[in-house]
Amino acid sequence: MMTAQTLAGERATETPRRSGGSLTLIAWRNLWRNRRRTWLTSGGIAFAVWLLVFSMSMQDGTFEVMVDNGARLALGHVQIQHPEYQDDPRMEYTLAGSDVLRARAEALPAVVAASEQAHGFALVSHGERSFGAQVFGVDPARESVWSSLPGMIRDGRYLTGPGEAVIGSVLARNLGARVGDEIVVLGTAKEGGVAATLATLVGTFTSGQVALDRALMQISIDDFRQAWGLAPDEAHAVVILAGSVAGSVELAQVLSTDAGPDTRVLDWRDLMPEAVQTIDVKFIGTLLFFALVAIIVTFSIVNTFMMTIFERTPEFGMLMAIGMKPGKIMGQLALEALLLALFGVVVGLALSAALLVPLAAFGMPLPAGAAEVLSQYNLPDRMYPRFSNVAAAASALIMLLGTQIAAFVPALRIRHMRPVEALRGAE
Amino acid sequence: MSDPVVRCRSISRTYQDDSVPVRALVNVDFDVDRGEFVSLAGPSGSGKSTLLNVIGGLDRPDEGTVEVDGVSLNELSESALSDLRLRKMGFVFQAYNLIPVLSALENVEFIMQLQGIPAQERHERARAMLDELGLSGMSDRRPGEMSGGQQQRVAVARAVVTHPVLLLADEPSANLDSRTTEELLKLLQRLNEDHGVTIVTATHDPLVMSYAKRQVRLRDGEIIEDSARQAA
Repeated sequence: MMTAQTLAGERATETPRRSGGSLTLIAWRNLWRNRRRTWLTSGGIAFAVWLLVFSMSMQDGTFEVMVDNGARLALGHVQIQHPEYQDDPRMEYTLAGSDVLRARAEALPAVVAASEQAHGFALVSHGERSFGAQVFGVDPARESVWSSLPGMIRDGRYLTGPGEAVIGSVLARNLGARVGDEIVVLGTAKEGGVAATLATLVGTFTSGQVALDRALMQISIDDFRQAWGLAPDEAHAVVILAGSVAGSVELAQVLSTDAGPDTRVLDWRDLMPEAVQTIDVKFIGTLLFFALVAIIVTFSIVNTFMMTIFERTPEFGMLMAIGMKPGKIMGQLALEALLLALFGVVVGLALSAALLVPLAAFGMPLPAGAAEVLSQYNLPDRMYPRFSNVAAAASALIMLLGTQIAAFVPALRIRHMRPVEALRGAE
Repeated sequence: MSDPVVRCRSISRTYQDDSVPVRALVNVDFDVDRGEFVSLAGPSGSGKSTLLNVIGGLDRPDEGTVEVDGVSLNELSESALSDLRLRKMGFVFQAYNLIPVLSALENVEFIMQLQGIPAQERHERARAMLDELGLSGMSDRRPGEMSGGQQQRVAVARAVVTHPVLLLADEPSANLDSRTTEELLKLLQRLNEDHGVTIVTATHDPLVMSYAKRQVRLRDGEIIEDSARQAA
């Protein structure tokens, strides 16, 4: 016999309470009613996440190498300059007390190396031939610590002290100069007079960048100061190498509060506007790629949910018959879509991490030919992807949103279902 | 004095079947008093399931009025109809229509979850109901792991656990063998006689009709015979 509690109890409370826990459980179990379909769909989501994260991480790694190479070639990650110099590089816009600024920068733990540079334009001549060149006065010992240029010397050696010069290989060919030849340098000094110096060519470099190979000359900063009429503690820039490209931005902020009022601190984004432009253009391409992948995945999930709704129409009819509102059934489907997407995203991120973490640590070897070419320019022979947190977050968000849209569109049919017809599977 | 749970007046319902109008119900007047066990019988297309669906608010009549427990269904929105079904009605379907991913216990609990009954209470009530219906050993089994008779008993448990004023059963024995049908009917009879559950069932099974206190026959959308009228 039935007890009083079972049938003679009070009517159910009129105030619905939250019932999310069980609905989540039902949604999760519903996902696995058709294991193959769920694996295929979540596999598609996982693959899309992996593809987006992996490609963006590779791209980020490439950008980092590109920026780092630019920094190590001549510019550094961060520079301290006269406030006007970056926009209007005049000879007179110098830093006074550059040696003090350099020493203070060197004392910061985030700084790997720092050196002073002076810059000027000059006519460089050898024999009967003369060409315009950009002359960098550098501290050879300090420059050797961080610059990749010494490693690009193809003929001769890098600077060791005053009276020496290194020039790009194209400039050397244009001048007809060889190691051991004397190069005459003529420019306009800081105060307007003639800046003149004579240097012995001790080496030529090939950077792979035509502009540098054709027009860059490096001499000792002491020679530069003497020829261009700069004081011994005067320079155009204190060039700083940070531990990483990412860390350099924060370093620049620290330096800008530390460097003093008559200075301007520039990070790599200020120093390499072309690189920033390239990254921005690539980023737009990446967004289009993201959108394309999202659309493809969304359409495939729409198909999955259309099948689900078609197959489960009698069940939805039963749910409506026992009093579940269409909105709640749609919510149930949205929950299933959310769990499906979360499952795919977690698998995709796990795959991405499993592949990218070791690659970021040990690098991805490049084909033998490419590695050889890169090594000639002092570039790494491996690709080092950098796990892109932005791509991980963006791809997860895109997949979650895409899946919700994909589930919502077919689920709209439920709003128009009539229980009696849905029960017959006739909707 | 009569106490109608269901009150239908001049109900008509016409379907379009391949653009051909089919008159499923024609000007039907039909009342069910509290505590009755009514069978709606008739051949296929007689209108018995349509009448059941109209009473349950699963379908709307083209003409006429329907009241359940004093509430006019004609004026209710779909959402309000859902609420009414949830609070006042229990359904038993021919194909059992249990949620396949839930166990027997969870299926019975689910409807109480929709009603917002706290987890502990609904768990206890569902377990007690399954025990009462002789399904205590089946509570953790999913529908696919139970026989048709067991599934239908779980469906009955789901339908009555919320203490509905009206239990509607559409061909509840259609997929059951005679022995299981008899067990189910005894269960429905017990619910009706011992606990006063009002039951309306659509059937063409003579065995089901024999258990009902009142037999109503339909043909071509009209009531042609009603044992209650004959008795009066």
